Amino acid sequence: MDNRAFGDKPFRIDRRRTLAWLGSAVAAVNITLPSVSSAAVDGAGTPVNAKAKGYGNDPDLMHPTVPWPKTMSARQLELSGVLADMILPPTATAPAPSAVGIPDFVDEWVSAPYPDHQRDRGLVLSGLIWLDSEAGKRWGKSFTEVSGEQRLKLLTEVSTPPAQGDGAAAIRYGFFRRFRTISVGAYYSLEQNFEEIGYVGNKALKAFPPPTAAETKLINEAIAKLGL
Amino acid sequence: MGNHWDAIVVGSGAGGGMSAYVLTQAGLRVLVLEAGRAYSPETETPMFDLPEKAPLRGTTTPDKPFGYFDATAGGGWDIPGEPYTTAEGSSFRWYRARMVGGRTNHWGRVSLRFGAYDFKGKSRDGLGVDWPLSYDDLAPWYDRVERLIGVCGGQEDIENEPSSPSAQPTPPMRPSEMLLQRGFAKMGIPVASTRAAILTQPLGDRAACFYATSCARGCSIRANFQSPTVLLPPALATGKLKVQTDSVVSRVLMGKDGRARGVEYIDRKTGLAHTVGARAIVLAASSCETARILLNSKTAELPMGVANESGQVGRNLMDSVGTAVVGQIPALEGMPPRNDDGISLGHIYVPWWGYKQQQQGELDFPRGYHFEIVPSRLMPGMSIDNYADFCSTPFGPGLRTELRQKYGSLVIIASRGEMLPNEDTFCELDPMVKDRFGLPVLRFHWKWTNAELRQAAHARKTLREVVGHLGGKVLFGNENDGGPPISQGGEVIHEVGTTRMGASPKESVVNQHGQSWSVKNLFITDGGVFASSSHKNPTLTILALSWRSTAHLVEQLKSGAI
Repeated sequence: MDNRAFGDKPFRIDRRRTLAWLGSAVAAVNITLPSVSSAAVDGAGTPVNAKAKGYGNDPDLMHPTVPWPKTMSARQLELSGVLADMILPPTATAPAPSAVGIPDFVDEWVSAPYPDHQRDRGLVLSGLIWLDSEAGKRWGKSFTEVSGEQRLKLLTEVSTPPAQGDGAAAIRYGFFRRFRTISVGAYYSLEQNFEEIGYVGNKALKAFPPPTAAETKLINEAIAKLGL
Repeated sequence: MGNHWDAIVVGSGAGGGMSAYVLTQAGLRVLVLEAGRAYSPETETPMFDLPEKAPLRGTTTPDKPFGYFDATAGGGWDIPGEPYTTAEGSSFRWYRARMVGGRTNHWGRVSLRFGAYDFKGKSRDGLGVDWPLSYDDLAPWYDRVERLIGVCGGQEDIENEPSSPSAQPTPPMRPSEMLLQRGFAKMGIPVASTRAAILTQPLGDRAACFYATSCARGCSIRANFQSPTVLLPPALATGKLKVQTDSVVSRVLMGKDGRARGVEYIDRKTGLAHTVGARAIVLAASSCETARILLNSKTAELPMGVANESGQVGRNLMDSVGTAVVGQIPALEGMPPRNDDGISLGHIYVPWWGYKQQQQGELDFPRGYHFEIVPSRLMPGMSIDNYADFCSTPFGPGLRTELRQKYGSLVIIASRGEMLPNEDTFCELDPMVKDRFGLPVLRFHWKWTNAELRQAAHARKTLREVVGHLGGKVLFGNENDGGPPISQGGEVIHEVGTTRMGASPKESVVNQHGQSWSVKNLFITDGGVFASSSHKNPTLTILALSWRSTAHLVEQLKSGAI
């Protein structure tokens, strides 16, 4: 199995993620920040979606469509669902990521033709493959066939910040964080999950309300505590 | 070619839209040539559409650098077939739009008047050049602009930060902003109500903001300022205006009498060149695009280009100095959910407070900056996982709980600072590269000097201290985080200065009315005419200068002077 992305090449995921995040967070207010350098991970043996085209610089905003074909295999989709559900397990009131289309979104993401997405493609797809191969190596079964405890053990390892100098662990950790960014971002940006995280906006108001007495009290307590 | 038109206006954004408005209100016949396509915010802005409706949850891509639903059409940092180049050792990014209204459709709406100091920088500290007009000359035009476009803002009395007499009230502070205010106060830095081209009360037939959805999408209820919703409709209603889209102006055509007789433009769809004449030409194609047109208009008689006897066309290019700091503030964790969308900007900002310190020689940089605050409880998007970075558990049930606890605890604050013009920063025609229309492209030269680098460092240091006072942790904006401490040239999208105004034809391209010194019927009404950049976002001042300059043009046309 081709795990080149999980070799010991230097991979500075943290900085890249920070900048990518800032890029999208501040786009809302026209603040631009340094662009992300394109480096790091190659295709990891996964053919890039080279023929796909982006939606262009003037897409129909009223009727959005995704113009590139999805490319993940059924197995990759299944692994994505299992992994996403471990990251955000369902509760009595909140659905499982796999039940609200997150694996399909991961597919949309890693199949997109843009440089950042193509780079994520290598990282994510080879990471998924690695989960299966590592489970096989340790327990003789695929990642989805091993016990819940074994899956948990493996994910706990992958999600632990690596020791300095452990390049392979750093890349596996990079995979975990990238997959989490995609799946958690996709999950909470669904309207049905807005309330779960505490977002209650996007509703027209006649007037913007000043902080309530309760909110003011909380802020005043913080002000007092910080000595402001 | 004929002179069917009293004026041709090149561009339909802030400068060109205003020129078209003023000329047509005066009964003059105007042809606006717009390089991009027709655009209607009323029908093309899906205000409430959610991330889930868009590809990739609407996140930023090279095709749409500010996200899928950003209003910019046909533009971005790179436009296929319409490149620009940078000189060796320079880096510059040029954001363009190809649509009616240009960049007024997606702009940030921050509307700060330049103050008395901003027009007389050289007199104050010996650097750059003074403007050929004073704040008092422009103040009545700011008044008119603000009454027309509608702005919100406070009436705080702030040094060199004149307020608007017609400002509608800015919405009240958000809870997080109450805390930020105290953090700045701890350092002796006052905050002020945000001043923005956003209606908080109805104005004429335009509705007030309903405190949802980002202004950058454009506004289908016309509650913010965009040229296509505010300037062009009344201009079109006069029956005197024709807006011709997909018309890329390539050069100004000169008559034997030393006057401009018209322009040549290329039909974007067919690639064919056409000419059209008028009594007067108004260039408002954007600072750099206007410089490009003038330089490309060169002839055997005018080898430097049209209106470029001073050699200043393309020189003095400036952009705002940008930095940002992100902090995570535990004191903001666990706040009860509230609809905190507001006007899609911070409801407070931080005006420059350091004039006295600079006068006393306490700062190692000459010009000021201000801070803009990003609201903390924005709609969750693909960046939401960043909260997971400082959760104690990387996945599982605990992650859900902690994400909810921490959501809304990030503060993002950006600085916008004044850049001084310098010899090494300019644009010129690239001697080799042409665009798909066969026109020479611009080549940019860029250099930040210590004036900007030290200012940016000061801004970041100040913000780190504020985050510290709030008991928070700096996530981005530390000295050692490996990123450049200052924006790339052009990245703040405030390019100005390339056809600057001045008191003499030797050092400037146009006079205080935006009128070419040498070509009397040629006016410039975009940001190119700025003699200095100030730290204040340029759109409001472009509008005020455009109105003042175009009113002068109207007088000249009506009196027969041109």
